[in-house]
Order: sequence, then structure tokens, then C-alpha cells
Amino acid sequence: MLNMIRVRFLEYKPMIPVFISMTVMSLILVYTFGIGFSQEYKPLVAIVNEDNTFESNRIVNELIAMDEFEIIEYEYEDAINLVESSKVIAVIKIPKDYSENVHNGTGVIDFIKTGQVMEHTALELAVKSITERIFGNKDYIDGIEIAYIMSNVNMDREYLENSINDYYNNRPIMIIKSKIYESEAKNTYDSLKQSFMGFTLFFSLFTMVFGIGNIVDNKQKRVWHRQIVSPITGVQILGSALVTGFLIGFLQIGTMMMSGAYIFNIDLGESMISLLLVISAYIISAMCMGLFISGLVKTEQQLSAISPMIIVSTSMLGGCMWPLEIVANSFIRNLSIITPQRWAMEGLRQVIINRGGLSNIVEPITYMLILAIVFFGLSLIPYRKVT
Amino acid sequence: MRLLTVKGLDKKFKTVHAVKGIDFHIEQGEILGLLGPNGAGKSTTISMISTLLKPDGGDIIYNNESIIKNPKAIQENLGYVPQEIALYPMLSGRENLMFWGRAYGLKGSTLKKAVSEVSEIIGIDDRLKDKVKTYSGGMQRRLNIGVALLHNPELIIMDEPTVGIDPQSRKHILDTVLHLNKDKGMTVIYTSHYMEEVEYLCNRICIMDQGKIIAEGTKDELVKANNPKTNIHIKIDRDMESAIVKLKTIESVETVIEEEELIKIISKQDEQLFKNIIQVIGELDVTILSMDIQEPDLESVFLSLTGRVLRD
Ligand SMILES: Nc1ncnc2c1ncn2[C@@H]1O[C@H](COP(=O)(O)OP(=O)(O)OP(=O)(O)O)[C@@H](O)[C@H]1O
Ligand SMILES: [Mg+2]
Repeated sequence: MLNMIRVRFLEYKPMIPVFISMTVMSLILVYTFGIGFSQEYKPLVAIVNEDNTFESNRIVNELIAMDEFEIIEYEYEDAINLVESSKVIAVIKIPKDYSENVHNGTGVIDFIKTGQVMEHTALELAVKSITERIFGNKDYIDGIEIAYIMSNVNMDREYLENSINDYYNNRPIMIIKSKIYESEAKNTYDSLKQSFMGFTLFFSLFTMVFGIGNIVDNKQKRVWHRQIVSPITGVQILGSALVTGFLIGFLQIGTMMMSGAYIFNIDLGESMISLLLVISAYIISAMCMGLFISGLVKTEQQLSAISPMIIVSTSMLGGCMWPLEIVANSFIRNLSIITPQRWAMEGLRQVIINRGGLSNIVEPITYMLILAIVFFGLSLIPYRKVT
Repeated sequence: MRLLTVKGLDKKFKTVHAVKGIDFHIEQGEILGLLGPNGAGKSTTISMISTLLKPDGGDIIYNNESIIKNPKAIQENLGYVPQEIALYPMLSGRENLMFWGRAYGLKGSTLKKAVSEVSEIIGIDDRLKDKVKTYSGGMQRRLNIGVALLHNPELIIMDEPTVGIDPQSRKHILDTVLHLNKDKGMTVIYTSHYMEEVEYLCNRICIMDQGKIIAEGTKDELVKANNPKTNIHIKIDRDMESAIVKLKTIESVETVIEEEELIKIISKQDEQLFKNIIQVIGELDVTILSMDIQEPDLESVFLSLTGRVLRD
């Protein structure tokens, strides 16, 4: 038996690039999807300038020059689309005639935001202070002073300052009108975890399905025939395949989980045992799914053509890419129960997000094991035909 | 001593009746040839003997024990060389040998000794560290045989071990088989559709065709019993087609075929044969480049039994 397991690991060597690239891919995607929630992140803000005056352009330029935000100028429609799809945290809109209206006290900058993010307050304050400064006393007085000097008129600067200060302090410089769009994620930190869990399950599935496929491919079948006629028992042949597949799957998911925990500081919950059990059940059901897929095809080429399609579609169905709750079609939502991914996501959610324990994972694990049995049974049908 | 007896062995696939109730046996120390064209049922027969396939009927007795009831009876004593390369291509030659040695229960120094001995026999000792997929076709074939020899099997079954390789590797393989038989006393079942190989190696030959054994015996017995015909190979400079048509008109001539630029004639015994051949070819405007009278061989036995050639 050890001999069989050893040779299977040796055989697995060519799969190492797949193993590594799947780990890296999932981390990169978690990084890009999850970046909005890490510390060095600069929130994206869209700015729309319909006023297009000297002052409004200056406001825009000063906002863009700020360090705390990534502010980009857009047309109004585009900006609204961005805020609706939560791609930017807010839209700042300087309406037409704003600069004019500031003088008669009706100038208003629109502030359209999504969800509730800490940064909104900071952004509002920044807009306010820049606007004030630009229309502010100093600029104004400086301008007037220059005008006076140019026309050789003596000016009492103190008087001017006082009267202008009074004038402006009694006027609303800007009014912020806020419109709040409900954003999907209830809690921003959850969506980092969500995408981390989803990508881990999705990418590890490639390693596991192709690993199993490796075992049943054509060249291996000949070796397998030779093993049957040797004193190696059938239990050893199948057993070693399952043990090896399990260990490699575990190594893959373990590597991904650990990298996530260290690189993104993701808290993996309180119950390590529950986490390991969910992962184990997922690996078992994924391997049986791999057996089933391999049973459907005749050649390696077919396997490499059909597997990604099945992996991607079932992962989408199972909620690895986006939360199942946002799928409107209830038929599709219900269909997801036939994918191991759905139950693995559920199990991981219980452990990692809800910080649950053993009692919370009984249901998802049960479903995954049932699926494993069903896939295993289905995978036997084509083999029966061969012999 | 009788090592193996096959009785009424039968195997049907979905649409093909591949083996139709055949009987034969092997004495210890023999090299038995299984000769037949593509699709004759050789591999199917061998697969059943090596416990890969379950027969639909009949029995296989190895050392007085039915291997259908107890496959283990043959498995430990058998070295099976499948028709296709059955090795781990991504593993090195040594890793392959070690794996299959362990599969037959070899360990430690015994295993090491077996590996170095076998790699010498098959002549790949200098490439042991390289991956099998980098080997030439001939080397892969030799290793394919090698992994079946590690446990010093009592019986070796080889299924067309020389298909698609260079003459040098082929010679090596044939000599290896003779060496294993003579010096190590191994009994061999050798399958082929090359009659020269079977003639060269085998003490006894079973000729298979369409799932049946149509003749069995030593080469001489087969030739004598099947009243083989005169075989003449003629090479002419051109117009082979007309020559073939003409030759077919000679009364004693039974078959005329064109193969490898030669006209091969099979005829009943006939004193006038040469005269007639020269005469009909003389009527055409061609020159005879060579004319070769063949000793009766298994090819002609097969031809006279089935009216077809072994290879197409
Ligand atoms: N697994 C199978 N399923 C269906 N038919 C098969 C199977 N294996 C063999 N056959 C058929 O059985 C017949 C005998 O095949 P077999 O492989 O035993 O011939 P062979 O004598 O070894 O030929 P070759 O010289 O080409 O190897 C052939 O017609 C083949 O198509
Ligand atoms: Mg064959």
C-alpha cells in the first residue's frame, strides 16, 4: 500500500505547477477583490464637473491632488453607474452655475454615496475645506487687492477683510445633499472572507479534479491493467488513489487557507476542528465529483476540455463567485444544492464568518457526504460497462 | 510437467466473439508461440490467462489449480508484458523498476539486486535515472519487458513485444527471451504476427485466426501436416499487374499476390511450374530481375489454411 501511495505522489510531480498556480491565482483574486477592505486601500471617488469655471476646475484639481482618496473625473451617467454598482464610494457633483450661485447663496455640491463607509465623513470635510478655501476670503481679498493696486487705488485691507469675512460667514457656502444607495454587503469585512472562501474552494477543485483525472487517464489505465494482474489488490489500487487525492487536496486547501490567514490577516474562526471537517468533507465530495467527470470522458483531451466547464459552472452555481442570495432565479438557487461548493461555502461561512462550531456544520457536511456517495455511485456506471 | 492448460476458453465482447472455445497447453520450460493476424484473439486469450479479463466460458488450469476460481494461483508467478507500454512515463526507469519490484513483494537488497540485474539484461543501465518518457520506443519496449522480470517469474507472457521498434532492439528482445528460457528456465508464451520471430523462438506454435486455434505443433509438424505449397517470389522490372493476371492462368498456381515489390506465387507441386512461369512472363515485354524459391514456412501454412496472408 505504501508502495502504491509513494508512486502516486511521484506521479503527481508534474501537477506541482498546477498546484502552485492555483494557490497563487486564488490569492491574487482574493487580493484584487478584497483590496477594498485592507488598510493601504484608497477609496475610489468619482467627481463630475458640470460647472466648468475657473473655481470649479480648481476644486477638482485640488481634490484629485489629495492623498487620502483616489478621485477620478467622470461624466454624470458613468459616475452614477459606478456608485450604484459600488465601484466608487461616492460621487461629488459640481452642478452647472455652481460658482455663480455660491455668490447668491444657492450653490450646492451634490454628494451621492453608497452604503455607509467611514471615509464619507472625511471626504465631505475635505470637499468643504477646499471649497471654502477657494471661494474663501483670502483668495478673494488677494484678488481685490491686486485689482486695486493695478488701478492705483489705495485700499484699506483690514476693512475689506472684515467686511468680506462677515459677508461670507453669513452665507451658506455649500449645501451637501446626500442620497444613500443600499449596498449589498451587510458588512464589508465579510465580503473579503466570502471571496477568500469562494476562490479557495474554486481553485482547489482544479487540483483535485485533475489529480483524480490523472489517475484514470489512458496511460494510467494500462499501468492499472498491469497492477490488476500483479499481486496488488484492488483495495490497494483504489485506496491509494483516494488517500493520495485526499492528502493533496488537503495540502492545497491548507496552503490557501494559511496564506490567506497570514497575508490578509483573515481570521479563520474559533473551531479549527470544524474547519478541518468541512474541508475534509469538501475534498471527499470533490474527489467523487472528479471520478464522476473522469467516467464521462474517454481521453485526457476530453477531460481537460470538459472539466473546467463543469468546475466553473458548478462553482458559479454553488456560490463561490458571488453570494447565492443575490441570484434572483429561485430555480437556480435551488439547483445549487447538487454542488459540493454550495455546502462547503455554507460550512465555511458558519465557521469563518459566524465563528460557529461543530453543531453548525452538521448539515453542510451531511449534504457533502451524500453528494459524494451519489457521485461515486454514478461514476461506477461507465466502469461497469468497460469490464 | 504441464504448467498451464486452457480448456474451452471463450470470450464474447458486445459485438465480437473474440475467442471461440479454444484448447491448448504449455509444458514447463517451453516457449509457446501464439501466431495470428490482427484481431485473431491473441491479446484477449492472454488477458484471460493473466487474470485481467474474466472468460465467458471454459477454464484455465495453472499448476493444477483453476485461476478463474483463484487468480492468486498465477499472479505471483507470472510476468506479464502487455502489448502496449504500461509504465509510468513521468517516473525514471529506476523508479519504475523499484515500483513494480515492490508490487511483487521484493524489498531491500533483494530488490536492488533484481533491479540492477534486470536493467543489465534489458540493456538500459546507463539511462536508469532518466524519465521513461524521454526513452526511445525500443528502450521503452525493453523496460516494459524488464519490469515483468524482476520477481523471477515461472511463466512470462509477452504480447507482441516487438511491435514498432528498430531491428537492433528487436534482436535484443528476441535474444533476451531465449536467454531467460535457456539460462533461467522460464516458460514463455510469445504472441506475434511476425512468423519469423515465432519460428526463431518457439518450440511449439499455435496458429490463431478469428478466435480459433486453427493449427498447433512444432514448425516442422505444421509444415508437414498442412501440405504446404511451393513458394516462388519473382521480381520484374515493370508491369506487375499484367504479369499477375497471366500467372493466375497457370493451372497449378493457387495464389498470386503482390507484396513489397515482389510477386509472390503459391502453387501446388508441379514439374512444369518453372517452365510455365518463364513462358507466361516471356510473353510480356518485361525482364525478370530475380526469382527466388522459398522453403515452406509458417506464412505458407497460414496461407494454405486460410487463403489469406498473416500481415496486410
Ligand atoms: N475490450 C474490447 N471490447 C470490444 N471488443 C474487443 C475488445 N478487445 C478486443 N476486442 C475485439 O476482439 C477481437 C480480438 O482482439 P484481440 O485484441 O484479442 O486481437 P489480437 O489477436 O491481439 O490482435 P492484434 O494483433 O491486433 O493485437 C478483435 O475483433 C477486437 O476488436
Ligand atoms: Mg493483440
